[in-house]
Amino acid sequence: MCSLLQQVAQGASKHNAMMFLTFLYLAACLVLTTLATDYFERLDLTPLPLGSLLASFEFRSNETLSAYNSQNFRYFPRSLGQVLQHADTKELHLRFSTGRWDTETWGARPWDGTKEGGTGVELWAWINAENEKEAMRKWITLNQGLSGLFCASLNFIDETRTTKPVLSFQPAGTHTQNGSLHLLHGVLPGEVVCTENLTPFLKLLPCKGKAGVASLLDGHKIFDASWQSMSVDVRPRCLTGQECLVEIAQTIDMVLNIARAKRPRGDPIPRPVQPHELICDETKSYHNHETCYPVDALETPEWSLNDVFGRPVAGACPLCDEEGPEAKSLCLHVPHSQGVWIGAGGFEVRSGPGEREKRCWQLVPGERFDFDMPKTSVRTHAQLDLTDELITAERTMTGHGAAKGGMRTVFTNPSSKDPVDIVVFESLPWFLRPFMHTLKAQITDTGFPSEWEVIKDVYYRPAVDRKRGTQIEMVLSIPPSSTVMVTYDFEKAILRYTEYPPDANRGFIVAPAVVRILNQVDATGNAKAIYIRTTSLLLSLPTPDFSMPYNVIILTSTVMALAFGSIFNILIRRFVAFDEVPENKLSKIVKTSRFRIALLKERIMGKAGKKE
Amino acid sequence: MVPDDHLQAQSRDLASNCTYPGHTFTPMATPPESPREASMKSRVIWSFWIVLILLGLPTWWTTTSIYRASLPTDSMLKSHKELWYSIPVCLFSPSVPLSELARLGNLVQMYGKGPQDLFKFDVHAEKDCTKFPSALAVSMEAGDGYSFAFSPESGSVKARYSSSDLEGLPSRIAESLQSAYLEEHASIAYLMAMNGRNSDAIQDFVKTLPGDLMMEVQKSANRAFKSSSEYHLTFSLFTAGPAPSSWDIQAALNKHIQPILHALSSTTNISVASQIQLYSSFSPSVQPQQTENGWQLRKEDLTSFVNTAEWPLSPSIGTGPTINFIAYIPAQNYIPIILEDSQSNSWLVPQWGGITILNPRLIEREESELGLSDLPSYLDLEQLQPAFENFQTQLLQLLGISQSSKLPLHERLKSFQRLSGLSLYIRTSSNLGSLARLAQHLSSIPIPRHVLHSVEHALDRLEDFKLCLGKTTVSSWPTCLGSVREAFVDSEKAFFDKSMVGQVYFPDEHKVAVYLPLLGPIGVPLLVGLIRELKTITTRKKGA
Repeated sequence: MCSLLQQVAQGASKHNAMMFLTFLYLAACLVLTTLATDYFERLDLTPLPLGSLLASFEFRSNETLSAYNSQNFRYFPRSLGQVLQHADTKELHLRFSTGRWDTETWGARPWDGTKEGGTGVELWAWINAENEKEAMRKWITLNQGLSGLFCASLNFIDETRTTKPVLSFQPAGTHTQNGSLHLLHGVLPGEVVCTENLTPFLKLLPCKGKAGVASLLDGHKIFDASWQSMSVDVRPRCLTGQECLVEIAQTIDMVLNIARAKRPRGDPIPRPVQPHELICDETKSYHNHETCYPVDALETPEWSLNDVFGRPVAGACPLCDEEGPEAKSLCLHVPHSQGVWIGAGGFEVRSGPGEREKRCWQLVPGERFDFDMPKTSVRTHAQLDLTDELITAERTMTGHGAAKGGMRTVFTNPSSKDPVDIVVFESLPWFLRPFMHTLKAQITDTGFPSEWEVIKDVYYRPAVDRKRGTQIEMVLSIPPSSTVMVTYDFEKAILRYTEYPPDANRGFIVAPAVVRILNQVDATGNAKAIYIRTTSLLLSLPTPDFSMPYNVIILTSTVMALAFGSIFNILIRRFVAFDEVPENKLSKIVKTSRFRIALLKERIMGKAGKKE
Repeated sequence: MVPDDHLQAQSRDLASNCTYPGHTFTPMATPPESPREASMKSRVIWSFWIVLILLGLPTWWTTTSIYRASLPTDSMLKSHKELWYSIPVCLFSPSVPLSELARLGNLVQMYGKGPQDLFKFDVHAEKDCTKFPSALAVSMEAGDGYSFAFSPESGSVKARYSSSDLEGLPSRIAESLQSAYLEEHASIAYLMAMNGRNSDAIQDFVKTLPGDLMMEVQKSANRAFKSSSEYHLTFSLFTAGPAPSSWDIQAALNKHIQPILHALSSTTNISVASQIQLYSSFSPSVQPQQTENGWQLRKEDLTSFVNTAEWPLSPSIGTGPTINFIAYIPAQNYIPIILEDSQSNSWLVPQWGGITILNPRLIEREESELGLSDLPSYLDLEQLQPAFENFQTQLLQLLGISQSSKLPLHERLKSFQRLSGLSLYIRTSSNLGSLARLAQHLSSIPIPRHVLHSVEHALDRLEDFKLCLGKTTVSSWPTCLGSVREAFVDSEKAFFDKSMVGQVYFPDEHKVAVYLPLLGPIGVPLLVGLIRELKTITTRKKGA
């Protein structure tokens, strides 16, 4: 195909057409080389405002479908492959995230938000099954398998936490059994992502963490980041004329605070800045040599890979391509004018004109590589050439009291001319019961004065108590330069005694809403998906006193015993006058002892009297 | 002393007089109880007790009892006691008439009996033995002298006899059979002895066996995996560095492993998977020693060779154990690694798998003038051959297929079929026995209905298998094994059912804590009332 396109390109007479075709040819060859190699990895480093650094790791490997089916695993991890085959899963997306992406400061999300999940763990998969019941059974098997593999509580994704989204997700792979594929989606918003999830993640990589850019991954640094997201995507890929492949793509994205990451490992305690090192805002009226309004890090300190990741790259992973654009496994997105000191062990390639300026390095197997980025003055994200998010979403809970509440989601479209169509997907736990008649969309602030229908479509699947949660998918259209508020009310259910978790008073975490932005195209004109996610919410439910059942048992028993005892005694006792009580041994003993005590008393008193 | 005497005298008076200072009264006679009052009282007491016994007790019983399906405990405990074992033999001859052959067969069967019918040869005389694929076909031919020889291809036996010595023929055939199948018998004796059937007959039989044979049987039993309905094989290529990163695994499997799996396909289900793991070095505690021929691994290093912390050797999904086979490629500066006292450079880890160290030929770098060389990035079939030949024998050993050279492979596989069927039977019945003992011992565990179903199903399948054992010649082994496999799976399901262990322990003191506030204040008046009532009844009877 490459040579054919080349011939066509040579045949074209006009210069423009030639340019275009050459571009096409390059693009086509790029696609082919992507498939030709079985393993690819890359680390993209992008400085962000306020001394932050975005590090995006991407790892991708392929296995032919026939080898995958006969369980001969080469680059595809056997443990994961067997779980997927056992559960008949054709496409898998698994996300582990912590922290919040700061849209205002950092701009648009990496990968357009397609490689990130909501806080905690998010999982969705296309499962091949004959009916829904079987799909659910396989889904549970899948969750249990993945739970063991990734050391996460994925086995807690049961039917109540599982939804079947209709509009929010599209398969990314090539599927032949379209009719029998079932999409299932589950979230664990309360899961704490930590080192024990990273270790199995690294074990899935062919070069482990021993070589290539993966050697920079260290749990101490990743989970110390301001925001991080790990993803695993498995999908089948078929191109005409080639054998089908099963592709596994793993990414880790994190935003590191450079100053924080540079703290030495042995002494991680932050020290207060000395007065003479403070950077003050001198524009303040009260600024003098005694009062100081400190400004956030005005300059990004100098850094190197060793500073921020704790070690340099341990050479290239030898499985990568040795030539071509795919071979450049480490890229730094800074302008060409910026000077960077590089060490031995890497060949630099700078991006050509027209692209966003970056420089990439091809690493050498077995040779360590590092570079030094000098101190740079602060830049806003416009200076850093960061793109803005198309839309911002913010979700909060309203209302007070333990019985009722409300949900409010605010969408802002900053664009001055383009409306944005979105799908908002919310999966709510069953004990949060929304009232759909109260669903309301309101344009609260707009620079676009005309009638606008915000809610275009709603897909709603009501909850069944203790069986499944609520699923709401709304197609919304946000007018240009406007803020839209979508609200609905809900009621909080009262749980059974045993349904409360051990830390019941903390509250229950409601999974983040997923926002998919529709009708977006990438640079080549193909449709692309953009996702953003809101933060998760904390829902406090009426919580009982957990010692209550025992108190109830004791109290009822006492009351019953009192009532019973007195009634029963009244019924069976004989009532006679005091002097008519028959004598028995017990009363005699009582009387004797009383008499003795009286005598003793008298004697003691008598003796005392004599003395007097 | 006077005041003391005074006191004693006074207290003696007290018993009769009942006076104490400041206050005196004389007791009056209690008025007799009216009959109406008395009968009312007893009726109240009795009705309370009737309500308690007829209503209270049943309610308490039904609300606090747990469901316990009645398990067929007797047959579960007994199931492993009735065991016998026979090896099917089919006699045929083109020349000898069938009735003569049948008589010979009966005699062979009689002579070939083991102690107390523990094992025997189930000898049949047929015109055509191909109808009975599970039996050993023995063709009788008249000749010069006696001979009894297995043909290595078909697995059948050609027996020659001289017509002059017809008298001793049955015992000689029986002897030949017994010596050929001695190892199988020894294995069975060992299996039974290990599983609580330590009867005198077995002890006596074991004493007659040569010591080294018994040692061998014991060793191979310890090496092999416990019989299971399913096995998973995982072939892993672990390399200490980045190369080699691919191997011709499919061809190697097809050549070396598939033939065995094909032969075993009617006995067990075996699934195969393979993986390549780079940068997976052996445990850091292992230190190869440098010698003039390269590097040497000492024997004591082998136990800690497997790097369990880093090697992804998680068992495959599904029931049944995973057998691991590891081809290890050392780092380039450690090539070649030689095992101490080993020809094959491989060793077997009992009940776990096999490991082979492969030292591939280094490839010289093309552009290098310094004679630098690299590990190959691809291992072809030829380089894998030694490893897979080891894996082949190790697989047979790990499955427990006899290594003896007396029998052809065909017969050894049949013997493996019989042995694995029997050992599955023993494991099933021991599962059932343990479950029965557990149910008897712990009266507080619930026994759900589906456990009962599994147990019943397992028992039925065991019966089927017993029928198979009874008619070894005619029964088809795949179906027999199928039923014992089902029985095994069901018995495991029943024994490990999680709903039974949910509330095994509900401590008695908790029960007391819950019941005492209720039973104390209510129980005491009720009991006292009952005792009084009973007393009045007895006094009334005495009076009457």
